Amino acid sequence: MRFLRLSHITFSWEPIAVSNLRFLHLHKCQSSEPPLHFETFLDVLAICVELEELRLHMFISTIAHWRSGAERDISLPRLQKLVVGDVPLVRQISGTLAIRPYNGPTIHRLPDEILVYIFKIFSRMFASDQHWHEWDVQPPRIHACHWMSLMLVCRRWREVGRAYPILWQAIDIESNLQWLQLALDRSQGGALELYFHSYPTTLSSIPLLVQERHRLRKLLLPRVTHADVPPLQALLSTDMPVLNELGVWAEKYDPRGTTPTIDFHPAHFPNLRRLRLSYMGFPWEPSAVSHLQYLHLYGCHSLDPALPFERFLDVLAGCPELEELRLHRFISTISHPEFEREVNLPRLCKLVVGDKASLVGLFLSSVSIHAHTTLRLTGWIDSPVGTDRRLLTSILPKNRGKLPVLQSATKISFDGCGWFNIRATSPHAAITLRLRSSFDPDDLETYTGRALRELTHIFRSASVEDLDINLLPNTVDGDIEVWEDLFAAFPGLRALHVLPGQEVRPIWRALSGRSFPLDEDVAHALCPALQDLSMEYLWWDNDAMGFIMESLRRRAMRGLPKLASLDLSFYSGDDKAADKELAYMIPFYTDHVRTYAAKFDWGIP
Amino acid sequence: MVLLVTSDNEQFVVDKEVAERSVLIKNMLEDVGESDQPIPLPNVSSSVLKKVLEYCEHHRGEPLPAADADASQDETRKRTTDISEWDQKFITVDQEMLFEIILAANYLDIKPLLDVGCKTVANMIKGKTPEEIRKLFNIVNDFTPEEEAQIKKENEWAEDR
Repeated sequence: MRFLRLSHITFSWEPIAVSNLRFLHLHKCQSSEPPLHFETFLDVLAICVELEELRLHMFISTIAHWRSGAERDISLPRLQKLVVGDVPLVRQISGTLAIRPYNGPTIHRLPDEILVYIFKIFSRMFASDQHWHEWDVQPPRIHACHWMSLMLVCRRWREVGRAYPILWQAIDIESNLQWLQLALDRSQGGALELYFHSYPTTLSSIPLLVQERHRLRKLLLPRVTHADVPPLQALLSTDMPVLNELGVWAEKYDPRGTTPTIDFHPAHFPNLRRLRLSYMGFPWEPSAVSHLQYLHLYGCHSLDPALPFERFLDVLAGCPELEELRLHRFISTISHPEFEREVNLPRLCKLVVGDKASLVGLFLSSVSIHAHTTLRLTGWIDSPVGTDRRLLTSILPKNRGKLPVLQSATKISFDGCGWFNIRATSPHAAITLRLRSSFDPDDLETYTGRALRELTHIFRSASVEDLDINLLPNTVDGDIEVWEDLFAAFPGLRALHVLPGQEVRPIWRALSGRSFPLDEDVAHALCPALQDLSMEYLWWDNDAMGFIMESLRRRAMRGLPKLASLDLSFYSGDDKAADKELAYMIPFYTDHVRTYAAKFDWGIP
Repeated sequence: MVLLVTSDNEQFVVDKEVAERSVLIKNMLEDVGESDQPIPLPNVSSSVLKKVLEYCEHHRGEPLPAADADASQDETRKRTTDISEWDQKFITVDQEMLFEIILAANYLDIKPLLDVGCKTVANMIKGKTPEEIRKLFNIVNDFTPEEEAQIKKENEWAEDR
């Protein structure tokens, strides 16, 4: 043993306990009976020639006769750091020790534990560089041991890398069994977090893993076909007493094959708290879910095809520890989804549901959502939209009051490019609504105007200050009412960014106000608090600046204050001559625009 | 107010709230109780303590990481590799001072400052070859060719695809 940290226990200060140590930290420990004398304490300390770091917090005052002190000169040749936390004694004990100054590279003055911490941060930097999206089914690779390259720097760094089990406990395994064996050895019996990325390697590792099952804390398996799952049962059917997290990802169903599943008998994984599965049969039973904190079922289906919605909710209600729940196309595998009740999940911080739009809404009707819960909701429409169908609102429960974030949102962005995405955030939570059409992906664009009206309706009660609208060209008809209603719904709007497509006059007209008589007043003004306005891809033609100026002038006539900033980008269809004209013309407007906006920027994208 | 005494016997009078950003000092104050006794910091010089106190003063009032922070909180702290703009500017010091600050943060148990220092070192290392790292920190390559070959082999195992 080289490293020893103890806290709040009785410690026997004897040569056998300390003489080989490189690091010793005693925090509020007491010296054991018979009473340890200060002389003996120093005698033993003097033989700790390997000691590099010594930390004694409220230990010396438990030693007998410490007050008498001792004029001793103890040399600990490797001691680089001495920390003594007995206030009245610090000078006394420090004075008895001769600490050899260290003359190597300054970074070598950092103790091993800090170097280990730097190694870990170094590895995490690579993990955070990965292009990983929250919607991805598998988690990012966070256990790749990038720090290993640092072992090539010098012997000390290599020794630190080798000696600290914590560096070997969480690893990504590509296709090398020697690497796994190395990590198993160097983790020195500590809990293991393993993320496999190759099926053949996983299969070959099973005998090793079964042997080490008592210390498997996290096991993430590679993405496999359905046919590949049964051989994994040799591992998955063994008892793993400390397993906290399990991830098994099958590919999409093979209709000819049988659906793989895992036996979640409590004896198998008594400590399982985080579970991720894809495209597998799942036994929606208390024994499988009641103790979970994180559950992600992607494309899985209930093993019981007749599982009633009521039973589904009953089991869910028995998951008080659940903090994050992700259900992708699972609810639609449950029968009779008409039952309604209220499930309270007090610790739920994030809810991610993707399914038929109406089923998402129905599910939300049955769950209590707290103000701090972040929601990510995806609804699929699998038939033509038609004229009377609800779009984004179909994802939501009929009683919108159930989703507090709809009332508390201060920032909203709407993306109508292909599919509809709304992201709204409040100081404490966020909601994402995504509408997808599995019938005809292009079908939705036609209804962009209607989606904007629904956005207005959904967030009408919220104090929105920041609105961002991204649209494809010409997907909203020329009807000014869409924009008037939208702007009227958010009177506290301070920042507006629009990527409008090419027809922008209705937006500028709406920003002018609801009516155009000469006796215009502030009561008819829309977005009266607007400070920052930016609009991109404005089509450049002869009167482009004309209607912009007209809109700004009318806002001023209604008594509205100057904008803080106006940012316009013009588009001329890559017509070089038009670009040239634009660059020539805009400066003539600059002074005039600055009577309506303190800062004016423009450009060509 | 709290009186801190550095290794070079300089005294610093500090607001208790600022001093207690250090868990070590906080524990000492709790152990000692109400007292005017100076708190000796034999492992911290005055120039380093001045920097540390600048950090503590700037972050005064921010929530302290819980002493018994659970694994997930700790994970969150470690996962974040960003350094705020102010902290970046603060930690733009020479290597000698950087390591002194890290050592002081470790000794005084100021986790957020320890994080800033360690992230800075990790950033300095990132993207560099072992040789470049040696050069950066004035480290001697003390490997035998055999040792170096063995580590390279282990590295290849880890990256084997």
